[in-house]
Amino acid sequence: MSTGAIVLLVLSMVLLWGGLGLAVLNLIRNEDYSADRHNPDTADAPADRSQSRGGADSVGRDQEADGHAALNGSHAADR
Amino acid sequence: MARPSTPAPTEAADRGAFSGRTAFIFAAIGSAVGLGNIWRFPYTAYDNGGGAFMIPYLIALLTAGIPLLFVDYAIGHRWRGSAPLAWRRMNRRAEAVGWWQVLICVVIGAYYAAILAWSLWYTLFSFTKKWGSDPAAFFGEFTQADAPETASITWDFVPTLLGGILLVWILVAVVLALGVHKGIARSSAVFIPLLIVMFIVLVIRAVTLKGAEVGLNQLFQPDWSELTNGSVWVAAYGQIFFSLSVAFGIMLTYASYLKKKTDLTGSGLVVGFANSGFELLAGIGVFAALGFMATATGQGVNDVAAAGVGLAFIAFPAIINEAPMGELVGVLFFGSLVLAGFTSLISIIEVVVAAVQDKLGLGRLSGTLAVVLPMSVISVLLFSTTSGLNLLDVTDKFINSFGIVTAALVGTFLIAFVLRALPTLRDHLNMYGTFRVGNFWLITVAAVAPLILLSTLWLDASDILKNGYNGMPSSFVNTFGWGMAGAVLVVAVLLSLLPWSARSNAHRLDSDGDPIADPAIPDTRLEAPHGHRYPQELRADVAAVRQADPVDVPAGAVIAGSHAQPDKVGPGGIAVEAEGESSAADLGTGQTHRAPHPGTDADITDTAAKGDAR
Repeated sequence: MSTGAIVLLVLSMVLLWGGLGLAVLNLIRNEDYSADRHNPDTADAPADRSQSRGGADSVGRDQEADGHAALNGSHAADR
Repeated sequence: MARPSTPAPTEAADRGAFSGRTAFIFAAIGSAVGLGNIWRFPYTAYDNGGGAFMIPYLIALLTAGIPLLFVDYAIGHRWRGSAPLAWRRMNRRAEAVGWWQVLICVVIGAYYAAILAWSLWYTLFSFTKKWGSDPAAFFGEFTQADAPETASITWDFVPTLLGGILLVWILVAVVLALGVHKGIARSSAVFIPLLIVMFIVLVIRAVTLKGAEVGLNQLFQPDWSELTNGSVWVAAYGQIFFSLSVAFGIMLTYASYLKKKTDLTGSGLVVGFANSGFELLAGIGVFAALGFMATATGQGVNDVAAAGVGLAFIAFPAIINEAPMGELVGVLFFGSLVLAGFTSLISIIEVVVAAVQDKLGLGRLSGTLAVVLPMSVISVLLFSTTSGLNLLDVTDKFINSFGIVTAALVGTFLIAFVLRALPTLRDHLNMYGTFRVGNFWLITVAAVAPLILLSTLWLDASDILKNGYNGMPSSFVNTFGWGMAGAVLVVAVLLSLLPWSARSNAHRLDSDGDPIADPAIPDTRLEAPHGHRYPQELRADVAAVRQADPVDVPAGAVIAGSHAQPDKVGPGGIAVEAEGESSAADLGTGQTHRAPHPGTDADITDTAAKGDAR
């Protein structure tokens, strides 16, 4: 292989796979922020409810302390 | 006279959810990594400057792919619905964009199942190299396809194709009926690692073949002059755009199943780089194999290089014929196509299932059947006949170029300039994201992406209007190309005019029983709720605690003021759990944890208030 091809191959691998590695590392570093903890909606979801309503992984109420306001945020009166 | 107020919803939508971030990431990677990664990227890179292509490709990933991925995540996660419902909740006028995305998925899903069926058969054929010495002729006999020049609709069914497509739809139905977690997430969690392992083995086999370096050299040898060619940049952006499954409802739908406090941007970076990383791997494997083939047959790589159906079902069988342990190469290659394609098809059909569930208020099983049954019939009727290949070809071209691209262009323009919702989406992403988005993201979404999409649209439309498509009769192209693309848009608008009944999920709380976010207000930022801690603050809190009391503070410690249960907060503001509760395993640290000594200055609330946490 030519030098240019080798350089581009290695550079591509470093940038893309290295980028992936950094992204994964970022997730691992911030694992404390994952919503997986204290979460009742685990892998073993409750069984189906009625056919017309339930899926096998129907979920219950999110019990996290911040509640719904945490998601919605509120629009600042910024007009 | 005052308008009567709408009663507040009290019932939660029953939509299913991913158990956590990891499940979502596997599913999203499963969606993104598909047939195009394997059979489109390598040739596109080769044909557009070789190694030099990686420069525009990487720029496209960072300035269009990942930014648009974040847009999808933000809309789905914030408004917690399928594509039509989420767009409607963002702004009622935007609902048609969501239906447009759904109908695009209907069209793609119908023919994608056919390609998957071919791949399944070829995996079996690999054991005996059933295609013989002339893979091209064999493929023609296998599909019994009519010549493109005489393309027309026929009702001559090909039994093997029919059986394969039916099998694919049965498998799709099973996975989707099991639901988001037990079906989509679990299948992705199994198939994606398996795909990666299989493909790595394939690549190792390929690069150790004699002549592999010839192919790799052809792929990565840079032609820097191509960087001044605008079409190369359009090709790079196009590859990223089609490869990453953005802007046609998939990532939006998947994000709507995420827990509220999910690191959207962090997850998005993993998905984006994983998708591109896999494409690079595919490029290495494919061109190593092509190099081997060229060397073995005394040809140049440019004589054997191919893309798409030609690469997969003609070039690769020829490679398999020549390669030592060719049967293994075949099973690995076609098996990888099956796995990559299946997880992508699941995500495509999920867009439709979710929309039907939301619109009609159906449960999981009934929603799945309501979609899969008619779609499988359409798929079989259209793509298991002798006209299937031609129909697939023109449908694929037009739904991509004038469905996905146009819908993405309209959607992006709408968000950026009509609804002016980008500040809201940005703030939503930053509320839980460990990777903050700012003005760069705004510029890429509002300017870069629309410009590239418009260029792509213009170039494709000009080319087809001038030259027709693939030598096919204009009546065929007009009906199943332009006509199909136009019909999808018209039907989407009509669907958006239908009211949402009381049974639909439009009038329900989200799956967790919480109210849905308000519609986006133009140019308006979000205020974080009282007491909300941004990920960067939380990380700084942990660092401050460690500095104050470096003994035994685990990496995953939760600090007071975050989402810890109040009664779980011990002295010094470090959350602890009682003996016997799930503990270190949750944090992934493998360490036990204890509260710091009382009386230390590790009160994070105070530290944060002083601004030291930043």
